[in-house]
Amino acid sequence: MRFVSFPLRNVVRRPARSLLTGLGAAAAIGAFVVLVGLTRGFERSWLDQVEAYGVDLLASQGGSLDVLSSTVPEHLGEELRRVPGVTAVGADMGHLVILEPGKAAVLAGLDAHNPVWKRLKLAAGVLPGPAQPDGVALGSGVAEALGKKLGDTIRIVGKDFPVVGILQPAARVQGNSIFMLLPTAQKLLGREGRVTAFSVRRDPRLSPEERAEVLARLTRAFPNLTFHQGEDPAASNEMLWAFRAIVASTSLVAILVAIVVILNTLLMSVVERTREIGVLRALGWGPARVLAAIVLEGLALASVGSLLGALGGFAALGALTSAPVVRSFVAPVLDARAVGEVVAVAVVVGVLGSLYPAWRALRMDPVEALRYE
Amino acid sequence: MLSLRDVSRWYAKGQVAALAGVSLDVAPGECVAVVGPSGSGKSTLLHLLCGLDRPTSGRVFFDGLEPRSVGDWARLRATRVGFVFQAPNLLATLTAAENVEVPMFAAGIRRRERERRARELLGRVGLAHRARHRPSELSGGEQQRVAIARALANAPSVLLADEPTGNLDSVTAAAVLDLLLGLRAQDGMTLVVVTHDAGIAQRAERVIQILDGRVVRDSRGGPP
Repeated sequence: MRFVSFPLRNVVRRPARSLLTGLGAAAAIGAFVVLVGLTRGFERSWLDQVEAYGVDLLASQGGSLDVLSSTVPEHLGEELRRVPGVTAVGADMGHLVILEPGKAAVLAGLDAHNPVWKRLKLAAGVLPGPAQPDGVALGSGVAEALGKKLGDTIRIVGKDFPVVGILQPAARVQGNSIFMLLPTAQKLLGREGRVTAFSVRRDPRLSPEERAEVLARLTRAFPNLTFHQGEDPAASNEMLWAFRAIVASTSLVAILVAIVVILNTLLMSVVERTREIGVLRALGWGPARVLAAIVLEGLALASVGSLLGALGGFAALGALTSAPVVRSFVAPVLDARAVGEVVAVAVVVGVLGSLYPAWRALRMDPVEALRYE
Repeated sequence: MLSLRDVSRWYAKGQVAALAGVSLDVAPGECVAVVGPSGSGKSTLLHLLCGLDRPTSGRVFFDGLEPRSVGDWARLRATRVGFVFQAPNLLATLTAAENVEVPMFAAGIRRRERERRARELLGRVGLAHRARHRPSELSGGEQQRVAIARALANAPSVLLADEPTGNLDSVTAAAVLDLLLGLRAQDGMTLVVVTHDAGIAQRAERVIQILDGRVVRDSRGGPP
C-alpha cells in the first residue's frame, strides 16, 4: 500500500458524500472556468481587432461607455489632421446590425482616406470605391455564415447592397464585419455629418516622449473627445475593466464556496474518525504525517471537484460560444493557461479547505481520542 | 527499560488523581501484568509509559533516556513500542495486510519491505489466508490477531497491551493470550499488559496491583 492510498480510501469509503462534495466544488470551479474563459475571449477579440486595424489612437466621444456608443461630428476630422505630429486621420462609422435572426455583424463605414482600407486583404473582388459607391466588402465570417459570394446582394437595415469584395480570413471582429464607404453608411443609418470615432495615427518616427506630447496636445485641443491608446486599449476600456472586476469578484465567491464545501466535509470526516486519529498517534504517526493524510484527502476531494467542474465549465463555454450572436464576437479561450489556472485553484481549494480540519485533528489529545466512541 | 519516578497524573484541573506518586521499573524482557479495578489508573500508567499521556509531575524514562517532546515520543512509539488496544481498532477501509503496514509508514520503511513484513507477520498470527480481507469480514478474535501483528510491525522491544482480551469470549481470549505470550517469548520483548483477567495475571512473571492511583502490591506471579 502507498501512503496516498490511505486518504484516497477515505474518499472512496463514503462515495455519496465524496461525490456531493465534489459536485459542490465542481459547480464553483465550473463557474470560474466559464467566467475566466469568457473574459479572456473578450479581451483577445478586442486585441485582435486593434492589431488588425493598426490603430494608434482612437478618438471617441468623451463620456461614452464604449466606442460603438459614441457619436462625434465628422468635421472634427479635419481639425485633428491639422494637429502637429498627426500623420493620418480616418473617420469610422461603426454599428452593430442583425442580418438574419441570430446572425449579428459589425457594419463599418470608412472614409476614403481611412488607413484601415490598406489593412484589408481581399480574397476575391474589389473594395468599395468611387466605381462602386454602394458596394460592400464582407468579412470572411459573414460571407460564410450567410453563404454570400461576389455579385450577390446583402440586405442591411432594410436596404440591399451588392457584394463587391470578400476578405481573407482574419481576426474575429474583422471577419465578422461588413465594410462600406462612410457616406453610404451615414445615409443608411440617417447620421449624415456624424461619425462614431476617428482613428488617429501619430508620426511613427517620433520618440515615445514626443508621441506622448502629441497625445497631450490632442487631449488639450479636444476636451470633448476621449483618446484610447492602441498599444493598451484593453486597459483603457472602461467596459472591459468593469467586466473584469465583476468576473474577479464572482470567481472569488465561487472559490470561497468551494473551500467551505470541502472544509465542511473534511471536518465531518475528521470528527467521525476521532478514534482512528488517536489510534494512528498511538501507533507512532507524528503530527506531520496526520496533517499530510488530511490535506491529501482535501486535495483528492478538490481534484474530483475540479475535474468535474472543468469538464462542465469547458462544455458550457463551448455551448455558450457556439450560439451565433456570442460566437461573432467572443472566441472561447481554452488553453494551457486556463487548465493551469484550474489546477492552481484546485490546489488552493484543497489545501485551504483542509487546514482547519487538520488543525482540529492535531489538537486532539490522543488519549481522549482513543476513548472516543 | 521503562521507569517511572514519583509520577502523578491529575485530571479535571487537579480534582481527580489518576495516578499518585508512582515509581516503578520494568526490566528488559520482563512480562508484567498490571491489575486493578476499573478507574484505578491502569490505562493511564500504560499511556504514560509510551508518552501518549504526559505526567502532571514526576519523570518517565525509556531505556535510560527521558524523551521530552511529542515528536520524540512519536518516534519511540513508531520504532520501539508496539501497542495492542482492548478493541482491535483496525482501520475499516484497509485490508488486514494494509492495517499491519500502518505503523511502518511512521518508521520510514519502504513499500516492498512493508508488504513483505505484513505478509510474514500475518503468517505468524495464523492469518496469512486472510491478508486481503477487510476488518468487517473478520471475526473478533481474528481482528485482535491482526492488531497484534500490527503491534509487531516495527519489531518493537516493548509491547504494551491494554485489556487485549477484554472484548473476547473466554475461548478466543485464551487463544489470543497464548499467541501474545508465545510471540513475546520468541522475540524476547518486554510486555506490559493491563488486564482484569486473572488467567493473564497468573501467567505473568510479575503482577502490579493498582488501587486509587497507587501501587498497592508488586510481586512475582506464576511462571511465564
